Parts: sequence; C-alpha cells; structure tokens
Amino acid sequence: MHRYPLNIPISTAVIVGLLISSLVFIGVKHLEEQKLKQEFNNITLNIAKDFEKEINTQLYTLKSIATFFETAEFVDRYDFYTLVTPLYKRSSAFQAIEWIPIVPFEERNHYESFAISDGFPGFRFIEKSPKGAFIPAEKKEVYYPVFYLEPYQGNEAALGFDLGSESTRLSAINEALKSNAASASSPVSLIQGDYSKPATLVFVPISKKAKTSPDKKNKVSGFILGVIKLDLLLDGISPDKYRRSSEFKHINITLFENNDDMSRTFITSKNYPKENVSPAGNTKKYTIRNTQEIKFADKSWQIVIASNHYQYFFLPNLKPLFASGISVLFFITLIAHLISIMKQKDRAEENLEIKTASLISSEQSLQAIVENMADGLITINKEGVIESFNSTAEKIFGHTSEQIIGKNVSILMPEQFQSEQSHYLQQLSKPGREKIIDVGREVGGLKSDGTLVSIDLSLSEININNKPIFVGIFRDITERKKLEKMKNEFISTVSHELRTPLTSIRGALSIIINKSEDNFSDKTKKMLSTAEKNSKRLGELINDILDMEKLDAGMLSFRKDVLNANTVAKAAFEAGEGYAKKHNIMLSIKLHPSNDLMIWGDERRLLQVCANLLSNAIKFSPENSPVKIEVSSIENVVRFTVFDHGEGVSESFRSQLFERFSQADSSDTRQRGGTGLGLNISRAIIEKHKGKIDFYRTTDKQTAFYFEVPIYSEKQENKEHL
Amino acid sequence: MSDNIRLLYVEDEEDILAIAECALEDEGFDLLFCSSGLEALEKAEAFSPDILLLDVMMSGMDGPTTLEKLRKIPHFENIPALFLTAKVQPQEVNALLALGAKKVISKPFDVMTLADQIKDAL
Repeated sequence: MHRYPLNIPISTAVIVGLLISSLVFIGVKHLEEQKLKQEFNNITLNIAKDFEKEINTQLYTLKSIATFFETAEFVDRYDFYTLVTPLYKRSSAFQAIEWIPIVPFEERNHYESFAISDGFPGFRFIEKSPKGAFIPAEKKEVYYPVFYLEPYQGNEAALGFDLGSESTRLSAINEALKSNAASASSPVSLIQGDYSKPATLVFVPISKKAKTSPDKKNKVSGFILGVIKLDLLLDGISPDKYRRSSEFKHINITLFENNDDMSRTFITSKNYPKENVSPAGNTKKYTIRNTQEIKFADKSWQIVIASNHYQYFFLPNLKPLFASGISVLFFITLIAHLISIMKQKDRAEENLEIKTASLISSEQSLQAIVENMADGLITINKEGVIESFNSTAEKIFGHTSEQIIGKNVSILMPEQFQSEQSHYLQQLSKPGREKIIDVGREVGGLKSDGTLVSIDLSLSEININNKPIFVGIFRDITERKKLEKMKNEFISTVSHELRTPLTSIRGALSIIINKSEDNFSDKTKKMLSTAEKNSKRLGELINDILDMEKLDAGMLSFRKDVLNANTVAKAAFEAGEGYAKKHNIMLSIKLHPSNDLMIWGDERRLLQVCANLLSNAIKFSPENSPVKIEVSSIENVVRFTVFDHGEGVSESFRSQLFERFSQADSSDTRQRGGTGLGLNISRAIIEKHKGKIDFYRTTDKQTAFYFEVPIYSEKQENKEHL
Repeated sequence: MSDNIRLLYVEDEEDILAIAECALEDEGFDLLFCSSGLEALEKAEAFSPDILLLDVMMSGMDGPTTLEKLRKIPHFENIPALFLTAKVQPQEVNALLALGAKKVISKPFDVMTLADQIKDAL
C-alpha cells in the first residue's frame, strides 16, 4: 500500500545517480582529453620550434659563409676548406656545403682550367643525360657549376655538376636570384651519396657590391649551397624532453612541403622511438595529430606530429571510467541507503499506524470502560487536586466532572472528616508505601446537595511520568449501610425478643427440676430435663447467631490485653471440667514449661474459642476417653491444642469444617447438639488475633484441634493501636 | 426487722417476674416487685431497699432512667444496683456498668444461681 511513495525517491535517485555519473564521466573525460591535448600541443609546438631552429641554424651557417665570400677579395679552394670544414661538422644534417659561381659561357674554360690547376685533372662542367649518365654540359649562356665542395669525400660525383641543368635546382636558383635571398629547393634526390634520403638544397646568394654598376644594384656572383638531409635533421629532434605524462609513447613526425596550389608534398617521416618504424605517410592509425607551419628560407613547410595516446577503448585513459565508477558506487551506496531508510520509514510508519490504531482503539475502549464502569473513579495528584472524575462518580456525588476537575478533593469530604482525610492523604504520599494502599475503606462523602453519602473506597497509587497519582475506585454503599443497619437492628431485636420468653422457659424448667424434683415420676423428670437441655441449646444458638452477625458487620469488638498463655488455658480447663464430668470424659491439661509466655488478645474471646474446641472434643469423644488441652510454642507463636480420641474429621471435609452450619455428619447436630457455627466463629476470632486455627490427626489416632496466636511483643501492641 | 435482704426488682415481663420470685423465695430476701419504673419510684422510698435489681428494656421508663431517678431519692445515692438484660454485647454491658451498676446479669439467667449473684453484689 505504501510501495508507490517508496519508489519515487528511489527511482529519482537512480536517475540522478546515472545522470551525475554520466556527467562525471563526460566531464572527467573532457578534462583528461583537454589536458592531454594541451600536453600534445605543447609537445608539437616544441618539436616544430626545435626543428625550425635547427634548420635555421643551418641557414645561418650558410649565410655567414656567403657573407665571407662577399667581403673577401678572393676565396681559394683551401680557404673554403678551412672555413667550411668545422661548420659542416657541427651538424650531421649537412651532406655538403658548396660554392656555386655563376659562370657565363665565355668564362667556362677559364673556370674549368682553374679547377684542373687546383688538382682536379678531370674537372669539367657536367650534366646528367636523360639516361642518367654524367656528360659534359652542353653549351649554355650561363652555368651554375659545383665548384668548391666540402667534404669532398662522398660527394665526388657532384663536383662540376651544373645545377642549372636540372629543373628543380634551377627554379630554386632563379628564386634566389630574383629575391636576392636564400632559396630552398623542393626535396630532391641527390646525385651523390644515399639517393633515397630526401634532401633540400639551400641557395644563399653571394652579392658583391658592384662599384661599376650604373644602377648600383648588388650583382649576384654565385651561391653558397647547403645540401641538407632532412631525415638526419629530424633525427636531431627528440620529443622525450617535452613529454610529461606517460602518454604519447609513440610519436610520428612527418614533414611536408606546402605547394602553391595548396597541396602538399611528402618529404620525410620519422617515428619515435626509432625502432618503431611505420610506413611513410601512413599516419591514419594515429588518433591525435597537430600541424605546424615552418618557414624556412622562401619555403613553407608543414610538420605534422601524430601520436596514439588512446590506450583504452574511446577513452583518453582510465580516469573517467574510474571517476564515474566511484560516482556510480557512491550512488549505489546512496540508493541502497535510501532504500533502507525508506523501508525503515515505511515499517516505522506502518508500525506507528498499527500502534496508533491500537492505541486509539485501546484508549477508546479504556475510556468507554472507565465511563461505563459501575464504580466511581477519581484520580487526584499528590496535592489532592482532582484530575479525573467518571460518570458514575458524577452520579454518586452529584457534581459534574467539569465542575470538579481541578478542585481539591476536600470538596467531596464532610467537614468533620476533612482534617482527618487530608492527614490521610499526607500519609499516603510518603515514599515507600505499597502500590495498593487501601482496599475497602468505608468513608463518608459530601454530595453536591450537602447530604452525606457512604462510600466504599479502594485507593491505589500509580506513577505517571514520575508523578504519583492516586486512583480511587468507590461505590455508594449508603443503601447497603442502611440495609445492614436494619438487619443488625432486626437481629438484635429478634434475639432480644427470643431471649425473653426463653428466660421464662428456662427459669421455669430449672425451678421445677431443682425445687420440686421429688414429686415427679422418672419419665416426667426425663422429659423436663430434655426440655431444659434444649432450651439451653436454643440460648446458645441465639448467642452464636448474634456473634456471627456482629462478626460479619465487623462490629464484634475486642478488648485486647497482655495475657498469660498458661492462665488462659487453665481458665478454659476449669470452665470445661463440669461439662467433661457430665460426659464422663477425663479432662487433663499440660501447661507450657515457661510460665511467663505472654500473648496479646481478648481473654473472653479466646476462652470462647477454647470452650468451643473443648466442647467439640468432649461431645465427639467416646465415653471414658481422655481429652487434653496443651499449651506449646513454635517460634513466635503460642499454640493451644485440644486432643481427643473421637472419630476425627475426614480430610475431604477439611475445607468445609470451618464454614457455617457445617458438621461432618448432618445427623450429628441432633445427636450431639451444637449449632454448627462454633468453628466458624472461632476461626473469625483467631483471625482477628492474626493467628490460625486448624486440625490434624496424630499418629496414635487422636484428633488434635489447635489455634495459634502470636507471642506478645510491644510492636504488635503499638501497631494495633494505630 | 428480719435479717432478710430487702430487694427492689423492677421487671415489666410478668413471666420473668414470676420465675424470679420463685427463684428467690426461701433465699433470705424481702422482695418488692414492681412492673414499671414509675411504680418503683412510687414505692421505693417506703420500702427502703438494700439493693436494686432492674430490667433494662421496659416499656415506658427503661431501666437506666429508672435507676437515674431512684438515685435522686435521699439516701438512695449509694444503694447497690444490678441490671438484668438480654443485651449481652460487651459495649452494651459496659454502658450499663458506666451508669453505676454493680453487675449486669444476662438473660436468660440461671435461676439456681440468681440469689447468690445478687448477694455477691452487696
């Protein structure tokens, strides 16, 4: 029933979690890529810069040689050798450095013979035939022969070669002439050395100040030519020093020449590390590349640097995956936590609902019970202020609960009881009392109309929030009290009215029997004696009934005193002697060895109990059997026991024995006499002495009826006076 | 004058009066039986009793009231008085003794010992 509300936050959390994880992934990926791009850009820039710097260093070298030529009157072959050798040795990229004079046809022979005289006997201007063989140069207006050459070794084939005979070289020469500035050729295959390696020829014009020239223009007399092997130049570039991360392990550098028609021509390519050779121009497998423009002399080159840094499928590295993984984990944890919280909340809500429902129903039913209970219910706090008052209480006292709640409980007490009851309340609020503090206490109450009401009050103390609250449950016993009073008066009257004629009957019979005995026949005497005996029994019955009613009403009063147990027993013994003699019973007494064993009790009532036990024993004993009264003590009680040799009482009758009008055999009543009230009254008397009364069968088949009362102590006396 | 004890007995029950008369004859008493308190008050001074025996519950004037009035007669202040009653509860007995009675004899009484009980009170 609560599942839908549960799902909304969780699905929201799932969606948000996925969204955020994706964003984290994308973000981190982007950042990583940016970072790597930045690094790669940096590497690229640096490589291009290094390359440009390197190649321009070569150009500078060439320019400085050209300047030397321009300033010197004449540079012979040996001068050239000494000047150039240390320079080309400085860079491995130079295949050769050459002097190219511009030689008009008419000066050809002069230059050829000059070279021969320098020690090159076969020197002549040469060119390449279409078949690829070197042949003497054809007749031309002007020649651009390789005249000085260093190092000679390895470049022998180039000496005397007319550069103007080959188009690529010639166009570079023409460029240099036109601009009077350094010009580089497109990559060419060399005619000497390793032909496969691409090289560029850089022509630096040598322009002497022409004193004689009318336009005062510098006249270009020749060129300093640098043959630069581009692959060797690339060899000198190392990306290692620019690589900061572990990425870009494999880098490819490719050099292109930009053409005028926006296309480009591949020059050379290089892989790092070197052993990882890839086919030239195949840069497709690289996932990142940068192009830098390089200006060199009059040429524009492109250096393309490529790398494959993607080590993982479509990811720059594992960081985004890792970050989004953490994010997903975080959200999974969050969602799991959320689910558990929601479930807990759900359960708690369900429990709360159930509890609330059951609380409401239990509170309602409790309220209904309290309101409809037949007894009045009042609760007061320890100051005596009334806190609740149910409808029965309203009926009993005539106050409504609205009127009475918040007032002091004394409003319900008759004036004469107020001080007594407030004292009682003070006593109650003392700590250390039992929770149920009073049961069945009869108190007077004051109704709203000023009349009195008798109530039977039970008071208990409960603690709510550490505050004691007294709960009083009471019922109106005014009617009951009235009835009781009527009954007591009735019994008192009846017993009086019964006694008066009984007095006459017994008196008359007694006088006849005792004073006129001789005048009657035996039969008459027997009848008279039967009549007397029964009139006595009737008297006893009236006494017992009266006692009983007094006991029931709690009105049997006791005059307690400190008594000597032996004295009580002796008195009982003496009172029973006559009765025993009449029934031919041998009555004996066994006193307690300690003659000062004291008890606390009403002598008359205790003797009544003793007399009852003795008369029972005598009545139910066979003739000429002994009956004994004995005083003993066990711990803190004194026991009075009467032993007889009668039939005893069956165990099955034990429970009924002390009840009213009970005799073991109902026929006994007539045979033995007695009212059947004696033991019941005795038990009530003994209970009023905080003792007990019972019987047992001795091993020698005697019946022993006994009662116990506590040994006297001052405490007991004090307690009873309270 | 004989040595007989002069007993004034007030009892409104004729039967009991008769029984008491029987029980006390030949026991050394000079008896004056009155059937009401008023009668006793009329005759008491002339009879000049040694001891008073009064029933408690009587129609008209009850025993305690009768005793109270008798006590007001000159020389009657200290005459021993006994009550004869069917009310035998301790508090009832105590109340009667508090009125100045020497003894309370309960009904039904033992006719054979009645005379001795009265004599004991003198």
